[in-house]
Amino acid sequence: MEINDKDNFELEKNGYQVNYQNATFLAGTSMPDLSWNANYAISGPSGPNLGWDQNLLCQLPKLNSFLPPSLSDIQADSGFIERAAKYSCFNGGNVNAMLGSINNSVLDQSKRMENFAEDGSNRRGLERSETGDGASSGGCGQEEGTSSANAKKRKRPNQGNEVNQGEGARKSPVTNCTKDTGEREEKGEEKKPSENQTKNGSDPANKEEYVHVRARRGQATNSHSLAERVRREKISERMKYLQDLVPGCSKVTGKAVMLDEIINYVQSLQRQVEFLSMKLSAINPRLDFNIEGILSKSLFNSNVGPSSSMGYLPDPGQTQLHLSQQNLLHSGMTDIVDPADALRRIANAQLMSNIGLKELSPQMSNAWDGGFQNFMRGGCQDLNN
Amino acid sequence: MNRKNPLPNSNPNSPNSSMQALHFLQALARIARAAPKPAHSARTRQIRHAAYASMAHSSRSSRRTWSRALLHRLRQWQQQRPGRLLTVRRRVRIVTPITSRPEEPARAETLRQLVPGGRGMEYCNLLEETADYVQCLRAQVQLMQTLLDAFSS
Repeated sequence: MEINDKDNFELEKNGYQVNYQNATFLAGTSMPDLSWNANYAISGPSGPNLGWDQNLLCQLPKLNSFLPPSLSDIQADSGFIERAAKYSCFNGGNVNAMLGSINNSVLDQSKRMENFAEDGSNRRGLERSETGDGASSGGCGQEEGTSSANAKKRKRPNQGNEVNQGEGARKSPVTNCTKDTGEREEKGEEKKPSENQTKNGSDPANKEEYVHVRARRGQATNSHSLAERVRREKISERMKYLQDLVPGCSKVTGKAVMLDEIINYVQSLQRQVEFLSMKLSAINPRLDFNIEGILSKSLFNSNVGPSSSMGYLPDPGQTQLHLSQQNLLHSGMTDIVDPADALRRIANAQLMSNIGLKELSPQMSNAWDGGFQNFMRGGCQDLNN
Repeated sequence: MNRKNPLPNSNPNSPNSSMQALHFLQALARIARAAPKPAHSARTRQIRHAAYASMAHSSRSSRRTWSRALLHRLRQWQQQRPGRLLTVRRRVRIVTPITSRPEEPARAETLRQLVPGGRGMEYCNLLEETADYVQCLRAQVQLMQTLLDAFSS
């Protein structure tokens, strides 16, 4: 039956699987009572609407039994219809929006049955009456552009979306329906609840990490733009952190200037490292590096935190200190005393917060008190133990 | 955001900087011991390498991209220096983003060249690495300054 094929084609194109299956089935089995009821509801006043709902409710299970593959969708539709029955108040477009969103399958059947003469009356009914379920689709406002390819103006709500969403569809007020539907078709479906909420403005600006990013009020809810916004906020957070790090950047605002400052700072630090290494290399021949060993040992004792360092350092530290001790004893001590005093001051300050090696620390502190050379001998004895 | 936001830590007594200091001092001692002869420039270079190596080995930065890239770069420097008159330039990695992202400011490229390993990173991660790198650099500079002061006083 080419008419059914045409129905299939249109509905497939729109992805309304349920609908066209319903339509084909109904067309095939010619259940005129359903459409007749719909017509009756359309043409009549608001009176028989409830009855029509109930009729639909009664009749849908039959449909369910008949239509094998799309059962889940139809059950979803029946759920919609039940909710529609609950919502059935007859305020013009609002009801129609809700109901139309629910009764997609039935209405589609009623609308799409072209082998029935009621098509014209369907359309007229749609355009004419606000109340009634037949016009509920029209009440929502518009058919969304991609819907019917046929020339007939089928005012149809976002039925496909509703069907696909199942229970996720909100019975939002009609005023939002137009914008919502218009945008829904463009964007992903998963953003619809958030979009509804943003339109309603009921949700606070709620944003989480990777999953469940909600669109804030008044902002685009495209999935791309959401990800971009997350990224931008990450970047701005890191820029703020860098602003704290880099000195003298608290007054500077703007990302470009900040970036320049950061670059200048990094360059200056690298230059400083070069300069200081030059100076250190100039100093090196003058001093023995026993001081290095002592200082390293004291630093190690006073600042030891991670246990890995404790496991790792003692061996090279011991060897170096052994050598340094020998060097120290052999070399003249007078050159070293002054810087050693300075170092001792530093090391003392650090030893105050000593949390380090249990076996070394008491001897270290004792040796420290006993003077530099005593310390050296004592320390090295400890190490040699 | 989980591993991010450590407090800006410029405390010289913290375990991070102490490990850094220890590494550096040991490297310095090694340099002083092992090289009685060297020219000033060679020693400068060695000390600079030691500084960067100690930075890369600090506990805070061992997991970072820049520290690995820095160590890699150090190895290149140390390998090709002894005994070669001509330093062979390696090919630049072709990991650069094909389209420079529109949100990046113009100076991002400069920053990528400054921070080791910055070429392959996205801008977001680049900022994070820069922050960590700046912290380690600052600690290193403070350490060397302290040493200089201690030696020269």
